[in-house]
Amino acid sequence: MTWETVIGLEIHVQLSAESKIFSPASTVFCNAANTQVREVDCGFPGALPVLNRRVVDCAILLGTAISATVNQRSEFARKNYFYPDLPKGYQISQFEYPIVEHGEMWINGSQGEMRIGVTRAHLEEDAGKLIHDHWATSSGVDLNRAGTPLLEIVSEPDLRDINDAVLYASEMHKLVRWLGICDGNMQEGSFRIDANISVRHPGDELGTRCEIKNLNSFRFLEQALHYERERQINLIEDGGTVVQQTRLFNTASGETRAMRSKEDAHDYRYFPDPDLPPLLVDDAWIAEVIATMPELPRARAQRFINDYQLSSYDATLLTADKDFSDYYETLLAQLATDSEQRNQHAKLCANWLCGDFAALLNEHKIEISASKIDIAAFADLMRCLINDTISGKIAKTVLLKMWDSGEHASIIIEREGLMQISDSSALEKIGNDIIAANAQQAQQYRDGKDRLLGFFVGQMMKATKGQANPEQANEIMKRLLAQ
Amino acid sequence: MSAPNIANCSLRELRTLLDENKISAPELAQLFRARAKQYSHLNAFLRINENDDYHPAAGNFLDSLPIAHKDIFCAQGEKTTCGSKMLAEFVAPYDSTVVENFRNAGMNTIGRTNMDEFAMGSSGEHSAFSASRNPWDENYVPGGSSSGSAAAVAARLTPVATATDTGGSIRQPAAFCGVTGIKPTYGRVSRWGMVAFASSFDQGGVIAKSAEDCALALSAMAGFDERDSTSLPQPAEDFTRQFDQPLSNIVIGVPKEFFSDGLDNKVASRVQEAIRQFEKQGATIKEISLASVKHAIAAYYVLTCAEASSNLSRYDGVRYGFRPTENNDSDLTTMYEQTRTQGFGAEVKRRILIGTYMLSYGYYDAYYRRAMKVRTLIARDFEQAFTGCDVLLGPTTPSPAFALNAIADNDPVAMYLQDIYTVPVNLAGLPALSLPCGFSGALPVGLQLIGAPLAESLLLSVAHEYQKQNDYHLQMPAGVQ
Amino acid sequence: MALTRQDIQKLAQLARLAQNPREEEDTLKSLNAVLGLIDELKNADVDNVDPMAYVQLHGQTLRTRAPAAVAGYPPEQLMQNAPQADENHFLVPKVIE
Repeated sequence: MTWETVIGLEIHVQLSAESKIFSPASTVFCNAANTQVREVDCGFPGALPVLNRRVVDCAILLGTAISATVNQRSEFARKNYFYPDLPKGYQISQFEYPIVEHGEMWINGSQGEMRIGVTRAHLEEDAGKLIHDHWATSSGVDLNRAGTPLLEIVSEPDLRDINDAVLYASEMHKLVRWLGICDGNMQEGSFRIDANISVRHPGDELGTRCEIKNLNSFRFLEQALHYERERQINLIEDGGTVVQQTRLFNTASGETRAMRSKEDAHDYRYFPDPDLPPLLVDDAWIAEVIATMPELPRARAQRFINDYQLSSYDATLLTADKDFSDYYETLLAQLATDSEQRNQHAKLCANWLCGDFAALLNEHKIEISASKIDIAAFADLMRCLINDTISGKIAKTVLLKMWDSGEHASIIIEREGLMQISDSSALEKIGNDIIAANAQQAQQYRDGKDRLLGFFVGQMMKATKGQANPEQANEIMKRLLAQ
Repeated sequence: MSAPNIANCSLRELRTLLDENKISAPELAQLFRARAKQYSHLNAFLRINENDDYHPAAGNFLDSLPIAHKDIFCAQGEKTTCGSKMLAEFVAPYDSTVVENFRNAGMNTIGRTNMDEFAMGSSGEHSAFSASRNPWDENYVPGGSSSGSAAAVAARLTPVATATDTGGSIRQPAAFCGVTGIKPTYGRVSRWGMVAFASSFDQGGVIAKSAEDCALALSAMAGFDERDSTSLPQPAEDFTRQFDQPLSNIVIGVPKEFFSDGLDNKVASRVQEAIRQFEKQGATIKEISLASVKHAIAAYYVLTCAEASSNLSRYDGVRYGFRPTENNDSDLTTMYEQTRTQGFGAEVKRRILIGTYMLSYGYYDAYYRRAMKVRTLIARDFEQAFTGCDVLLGPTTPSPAFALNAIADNDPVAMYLQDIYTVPVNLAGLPALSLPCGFSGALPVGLQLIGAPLAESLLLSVAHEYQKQNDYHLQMPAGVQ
Repeated sequence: MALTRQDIQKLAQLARLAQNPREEEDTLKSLNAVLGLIDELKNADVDNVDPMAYVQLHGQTLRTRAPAAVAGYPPEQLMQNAPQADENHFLVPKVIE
């Protein structure tokens, strides 16, 4: 009997905003406990929330990017429960009337192009942090994180494949970073995933689901889903039933277990927060935000394929990260002002960015924005290649030197004399010397052993320390050997 | 001038005394502080300042005039108990806007007034720090929840006191104590730093001897505050600006529902006399109907208890407030339960439980959502009424003050019905005031005037015209010298 | 519909209040009395009426503030009222997740 897995994800995206969602305290990640706390964040008597405009902008951006409805009227509600990291005894969230509804994400998954429905995205505040291991009989409460703005993005239970679920999550991760609404730092908790998973036989009603909380890496998401899938299947096949519960993933053991503090069924007693009148977002506000919205990765990738004749593979690589993608676009713009010329260089630049440069970034684990090689310097390197000042092989050497110094390519080439030798009389003299020194091989070539041409061209490259123009070297050796 | 005479002065008279150097600002404050101590058995004050507490604001009308604050408004570095054991030792880390506004006006705070715990109560008996007493008869309650503010003004222990009104907590004690109190339009006075009971109802206001004093104080108190998302964008205004206009253009609506079966005869008579007085002064009287106010008490208790159950969740013994020390090492749930069970009084716990029920799974639609709809009906009734009337009039309370302990602790319904004429106003967010309109025996009777949104100036001017024609508001309790 | 002892226990648990059996009995009585008052709502005709969750005079809606941040409270001031604190943390009985 086959089993079908049904997965829906709730992704908590910490929004990039200077201050908290309802208080003016800073949101900068800070290790000194309780230093970024204002009245609202500590739940002082009489403290009142005031909404940060930036977080609404973020919701509008996300909503637009996933082709969702941005509701003209949404409401904040209180979710009531007691927990030491929840200073007011309720979390301000959105319940009946979220700001974003009915969106979609497209992923290139197990069934090709797949549409994953996004039920809703709503604004809410984060809780504080509990420290358990520092005191013998106590837990400590740090409220720095309390009130940090979150956008909770809830998918439809459309996912049937664990790999697709991970892909959806990583596409969402890419999108929120691309939009500039989240720094995407998963270690610091800026992007956390709650996974709802159930199993059933295909065609059956939905099975009872479990929610795995707070997964902060794609690998953990994958491991947790695999473990939980097996656990549920084994449970049912052994005659048991799945109990709806909240579970935690143990990153060390790779197992999930029921959360003790959430054992009793919750009754959150949601109701509209009387401290916050309804949020109205009019067309002008939406238009103002959309005007700041960058071209989205999928649209940009398609443009790269259409205009630059890039492969789908290259286009995807060049739109994985917005800074990287922008670097590429600016690079092309610096190389040529007319579009025809630009399109000619597009493939060369794509190869160098996705090849050697990306490898260097990976190797040193730094973001493109932190690289010493600015766009003008990289453009200089591309120009040297385009006008045959250096060969590709030399360019690799030059790039390494640029990586260390940040200097422009032409400065390095000039200083170190790495220009390509295109003087044919000089190359002919070297060629004749090589033939004289390797008379036997020359004879074999003339007797029909064509592949020995490579040997002679190699000798010339060696003699010129790689600076001979490879095409020219090839042409000259062929001509001299034929004499 | 003798101390009792000065204590009975209006704010204008006190201003003149100060301006003419008949008395100094410290002497004036000392006079009221001494009276507050002299009448400490009234339990009107929870704390009386030892020293002056003001920053002169030369040129401001209220500069150097004394004021008392209900112990619900946070003042940085000072205790703010809200009448609860839960906050008995709580030192507020910040200023409420109300305290800030009066400080900016140069007023001298003489102390903090007693109140029903978390503003829940209609008698003052639910204070964790002993019940205030009615200066007109110390065996009677002063009303609540602003019990101390009303009693203090009535006993002339302060010329003006701040107060809050969620369902009548300014108007009902003002009526019981023979003083004037105004609850402004919801959103007029900032709630920043005002300890919450029911956020969509709570509204700060003032209690003073006269409508004029209320208007002068409210002018400093009200105004837009960006720290309160429900604050109305209206700028501060001079609430005496419509004073001294004849009542001949005024139509006063008298809702017949405010003269229901439960109304005390003597109260009804005093209110009828007031109606005749207004008629004599040229106002047009019109009987009207507010058909939905019969559901007001039920809707009010559903909504306010629900909001309160959530607002009071923050009192959990974690960041501030009471926690039984023996629970430092217990388990978390026990710590929560013991903190809240020991820290809250019976009435507060009752309302938390009712509110929890109103919002709980399966009951929300039957109670909470339904009550919100009834709220719409009541607001519509008022809106309709104000298309044909400028002001509505009725009794503030169904009876004069009742005796201490007359309503048993375990009979909440009898206590809740005290609010029958005051809660409709809070459901609709309207401004309303109570002013004295005579006596039932030795006890004062209050008259309620209700205005359209933002009609405080009109409301106060109508009350002022009435007070020009009689002296109920100037009479002092027999026991007060 | 009258509340039962079990209802009261569940509500008390949700609200983190503890009651001994005698208090429970008192609460049951007084809550049922209040419910009697509240049940009057059934008589209201609210068909096609929108709920009023807020007092919105003049159609008042939510204002937003500029996103700039201000400094937090100094921890010693923030924690001056804390029942139990150590090393700038509020302390609670050990929590097991």
